[in-house]
Formats: sequence, C-alpha cells, structure tokens
Amino acid sequence: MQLRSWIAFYILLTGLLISSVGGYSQIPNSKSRILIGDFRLRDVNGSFYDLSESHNAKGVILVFICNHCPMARSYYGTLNSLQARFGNLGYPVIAINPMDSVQYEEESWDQMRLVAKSGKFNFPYLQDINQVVAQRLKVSYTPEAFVLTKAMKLWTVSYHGAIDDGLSSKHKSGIEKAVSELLSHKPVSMPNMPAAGCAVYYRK
Amino acid sequence: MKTNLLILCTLLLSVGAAMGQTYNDLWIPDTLSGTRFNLELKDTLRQFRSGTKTITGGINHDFWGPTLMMNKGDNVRMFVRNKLNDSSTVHWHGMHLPAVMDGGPHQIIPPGTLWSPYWKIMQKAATLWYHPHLHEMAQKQVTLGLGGFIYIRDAEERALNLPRTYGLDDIPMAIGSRKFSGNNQFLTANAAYGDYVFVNGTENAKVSLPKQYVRLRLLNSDIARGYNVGFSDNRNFYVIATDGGLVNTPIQTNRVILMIGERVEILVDLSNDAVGATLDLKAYNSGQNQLSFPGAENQTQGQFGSLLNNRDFNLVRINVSAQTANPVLTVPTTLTNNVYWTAANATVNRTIRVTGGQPPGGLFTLDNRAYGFNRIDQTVNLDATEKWTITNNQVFGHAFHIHDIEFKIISRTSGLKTYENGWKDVVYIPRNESISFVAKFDDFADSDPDHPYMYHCHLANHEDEGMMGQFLVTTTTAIPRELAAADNYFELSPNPVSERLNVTFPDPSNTPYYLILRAANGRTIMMSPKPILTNGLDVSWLPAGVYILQIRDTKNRSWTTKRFVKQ
Repeated sequence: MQLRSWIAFYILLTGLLISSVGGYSQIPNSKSRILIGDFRLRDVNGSFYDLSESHNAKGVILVFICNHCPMARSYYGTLNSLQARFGNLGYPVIAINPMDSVQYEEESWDQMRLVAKSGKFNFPYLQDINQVVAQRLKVSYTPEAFVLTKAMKLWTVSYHGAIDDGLSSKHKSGIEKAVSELLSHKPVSMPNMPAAGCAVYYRK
Repeated sequence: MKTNLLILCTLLLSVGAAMGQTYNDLWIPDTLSGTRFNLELKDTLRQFRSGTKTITGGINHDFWGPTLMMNKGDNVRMFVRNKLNDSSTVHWHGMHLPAVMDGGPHQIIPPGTLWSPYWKIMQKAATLWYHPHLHEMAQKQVTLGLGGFIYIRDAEERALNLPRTYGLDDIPMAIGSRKFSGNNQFLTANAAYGDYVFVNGTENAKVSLPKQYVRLRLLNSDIARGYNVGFSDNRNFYVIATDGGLVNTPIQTNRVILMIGERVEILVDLSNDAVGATLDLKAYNSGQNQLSFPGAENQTQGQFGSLLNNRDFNLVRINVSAQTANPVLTVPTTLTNNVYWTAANATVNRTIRVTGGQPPGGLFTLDNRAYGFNRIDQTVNLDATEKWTITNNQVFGHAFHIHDIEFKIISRTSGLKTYENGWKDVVYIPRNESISFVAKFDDFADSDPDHPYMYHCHLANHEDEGMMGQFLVTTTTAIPRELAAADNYFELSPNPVSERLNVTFPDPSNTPYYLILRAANGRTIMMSPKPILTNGLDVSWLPAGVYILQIRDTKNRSWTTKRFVKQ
C-alpha cells in the first residue's frame, strides 16, 4: 500500500504531460486530450481517496470547490444531483478543496467536514492540502470542473471549465452535457466553458 | 400622408422606448455611526443580469459598503476583517491620518485577518470614501465593488441651513461603470471602461427627491472613466463642497467634470418642479477630447472601448416628490472661511512629471519610474508648506491624487475651473496641461520607509501598472529599514494566559510600532498598527493553543517574536 502510494506520488510529480490547462485556456478540440496522473488525498470522512483505485469508474467528475466562496457554495446542490445521476453510471463526482488552508482558516479540514455535513454531500470532499493536484491542473478558480475519462489505465481530460452555464436547468451544458455524450459514446461537443469564481491563490 | 405616418411611427416608437425604460430604486447604503467601525470584506454574489449571478466584492453587503458617519474630534477605531480569499488593503481616501494607518499598498491585510487602525478625526466636514489599494490589484478589487462613503461632520457644517437628512435630502451617489463577460462576470482586466453605468451599484437608478433644495454627494468611483455631470434641463446648481469639504461660498454652475476619486457636494433646487415631474442627472460625455478625457474614445470594443464612450447617458432619474416638513429653500451665501495657501507660502517647490504612455498603450509612469515598493521618491519635512507642480506632456489625461493632506490648486494651464476653488485631494490633469497646488504637510511625521504615503494617478489601471510614487513626512533623518535586532525588548506575562496578556518593555521610552498575532502555523490573525497595550492584549477570544506574537518597536524598528500559550 505504501509502495503504491509512493508510486502514485511519483506519477503525480513526474508523469504529467499537462502543459496548457488553465482557468480560461481552451482545449482546442477533444482530440488534444491531456493525460493526468493519479493522486491520493484525504477525504472529510478521514480515509484517503486514491484515484488509481477507481477500478469501476469510466471516468470521474472532478470539481474544485471550497468552503467560503459564494459561487462554489451555490453549486453544492448541483454536485449532489450530478453524483445521484452519474455516480452509478461510472462517472462519480469527486470534489477537491484547493485553497490555502494555512492562510485561510475557513478552508481547514475541520471546516470542510462541517460543510460536507451541512451540504449533505453524497460525494467525497478531498483536501488538496499542499495544493499539488490543483497546481498540476492549473486550477484558477473555485468552482472549476474537469471530466476525466479513463482509457488504458490513463486519465485524460475530456471536459474542462464551468460546472454549467448557470442558466436554467433546460440548458444541458457543461458537465451534464459532456458526461451524457461520453456515456452515449459520442465526442464531447463542447469540451470547454470558461470557469469563473473565487481565485485560487497558491502558497508561496 | 406618408410624413404623417412617419411621425406617428416615430412617436409610437419613442413612447414605446420611454415606456420600455425601467428604473430601479437607487440603493442608499446604510450607515454606521459611533467611534468603532466593523467592516467585513467578503466575496459575494449579486444578481445583476438574468442568468448567472455576478461574483462581487462587498463590505458588510453584496456590493459596496456602509456609509461611515464620523465627527471631527472623534477618536475612531476600525475593525477591518478581510474575508476575501485574497489579500487586500483599505485606504481612507482623503483622510488626514498617520501613514501607518492609511491603508495604502503597504498595510496589507492577509485573508482571514483583522486589521485595526485608529486615528483622531482632525479635518473639517467632508465627503470621503474608502477603497482597496493593494498594488496591482486595485482595478480588480474596486471593480468587484469594494468601497464605501465616509461622511465627516462638524459643528460648523451643522450650524448651516443645509440639507443633511441622509437618504432623504442628502444623497450619496457613487458613480461607476462595469463591463460584463459572456457569463455575466465583471471584466477586471484589459477593460478600462464599463459598458453600463451604476450608481451605488444600481443600474438605471431612480430616486424620489423632495420639492426643495437637495444635496447630492457625487463620487466618481469608476476605474477610469471621467464624468461631465449636469442635469437634463441644463439647470444651474451649486457646488458647496469639493474633496476636502465646504467651499467658502456656493459656486453656481451647470456642469462639473468629476475625475476618478473626486467628490463634489452639490445643491440642486427642486422647489420649482411639480410633484411628479422628472429630471435626469446625466453624464454629458460626448464630444470631449479623445486624447485626454478618459472615456471620450470613439471605439466600443477592445481594451479602451465601451458602449458608453463618447456618449451622453443617464446616471439617475429623479422623481420630484412632496416637500418635507422642514425643507431647505435657500442656499447660504457663506459656507465657511477657508484660508488657502498661496505660492508665496511655499518654501519647497517640487515638480512631478507624467511620463510613459508611448508608444500608445505603453505604461504610464511618474518621473520615468514605475512604482517601487521599496523606494521613497519624495521626503517632506513635517509642517512644510510646499508647491507641487504636475506636468503632463504625454498622450492622455490623468487624475492625480495625493494621500495625507488636502491641497489648494493655484494654477492650471487652461485656467482653474470655478468649482475647483476649494480643498482637493484629486486633480484632473488633461493632456498638455500642468497644474500647481500648495499644501501643508502637518501633524503626522513618520520616517519609517516601510509605511510611506502615496501619490498616484487614480485611474486604477494606471495606478496598477505603476503610475505611483511614495513619500515620507519626517522630522528627522530617515530611519533605516531595520537596525540590529534588540533581543527581548518586550516581555509577556502571564504565560500561559487566559484573559489579558501583559506586554512590557524593559526600555520604558520604547513603544510598539506594529503588532502581528499569528496562529502556531503562521496564519495571520490580527494586525494592529501602533497598538495601545497599557491594559495588555485581550486574548480571551482566542481558542486555546499556541500563538506567535510579533512586535516591531518604534526605536529600533526591529521585529521581535515571542510565543505564548492561550489556556
């Protein structure tokens, strides 16, 4: 187990071909998918979540959120719905808090536990305590979403950007549209939407 | 017949357009009074447009902040909590106060931290404001909505028969424009001018004002746009106060150019208007000099483009309502007796040159130097009366602002505007003009190079790109940044502590200059300039644990760090 987590860590540090994923940067088309390595982060339930152990998943809906940002907070319910809808179809929701918990007390693991409880999260809420995963993915905002798909044991980014277009539920865009298309074995028609929210500041 | 049809169609269309125009009630910020003010800066959301909410910054609100009511002579203490997920500062614009309390780029408040400056209100009644001043972040944080008014009141102003019922006949109006992205978010970079104008955060604002003299306190809180303000029927009004307070006698005019950061208090007579009549406060911004007046550019797209550029547009729709019980129906002939400095009073002359901006779009600077955080550009002797001349031979106009003091403009290349005849802290310097002002730098000397005052262009994009300098007001030779560390220059007792932590100095002539309280992991909890520790430091509110107390002393300007345990 320990060896495995070290391997995961090693992959995380070295095996990343990420070069151009940014808050507003665009993936030109769905062909130029980007590979990302595994990660292992602590969940609010105390256990560690290891991406490499998602054996049954076709992919994951990876969403960077936090405790205090009003934009992120307004999406807690949406994430519960996405998990309810896609979790059993092979695309579980994984939320990660990338905020600097040293400087920002409200983003501490204890506070995350309270937020997950009060928000009745039906998905893991992981703390990226050293901001490593967020830096690898060049996350700029909370909320900022990635849909990862798994092929040949490698994770690639199929969608990146906003959770949705923020309008009424009639507009099936963002994550919902991307995952629906993936489940229908179609190419993702809109692989990017600009994310907006609270800026993520990286500890120096 | 055709002509008649055309007229009918035009009439119907214009009536339709007029009916289609919906107005929103002007938001009047609530007020905070007393001597202790709690301000919480936070990330918030507001429904500005249909669809996605807009991410905003608010102070105790979801956009903008409360109006702080202060009285001359009061000792005020501010409790500023930064709940943003970014560092910030809060600058008390126009306030005469020590540099270490000023909230400029050096008094950074990390996220999650309480900053607690204090000072005595020494100046006369005036309309001031507060806003973030973090270097390179001013445009973003002001765009998000962080800011608020400060009203200073005094006996002299109170004795005058002037409208002063807040929200009724005395109305604060912060004017600023914003530009939205496709998903309804404010553009905070590469967008100098907004496409839509907001007054106190209200778009298409309307306000009911009584049939009498009303007092409007106008503030240009924009990022970069100037406003040429007047009324839709070109009626005259009276300027009764400039940035620094009342002018000697009311100044009649029908237009005021308000540059970024400037304030003006005006009296407008509604007593001859019928109840139910309407009047628009407008920006007459068309036809200004495109190479000088910010927002006069022709283009609607790009970094300097805007839908409001080179146009006249409404600021606030005024609906005239019934007269109130004790209406003000006359304008006082005399307001105050300011004795202004003249060039003859000045013992030192300085010249600051606007530089840069070439090639077009290049960065503007002052005296060919971009802002240096660790560089002092000017040193002024305490109590000196100085004449500063700002010359602008570059490609555009600017709004020059100086901290600490109010000045009197004594000359302008194109001639002084009548409504500039008062105390000022911002001055518009169009292209190919120079202005001179005289000011006395009194009361507050501090040679600490870590806490200088600022002078800068108040166009936030210019300020952020480095059009800013720093000055010290000193009585002695400058203090070096840090002398040799003086070990143990303060002692803590008791330790562990539960209520009050006593901080004692072996050298009784030494005092604390700056205090930072941190959690054991280094997170900043509280920052207090020149803390008063005669009764110890109240730590009763802290959870049990280990804490770090860092104090910089006044004599050596060195930091000493001690740990204590809270039980």
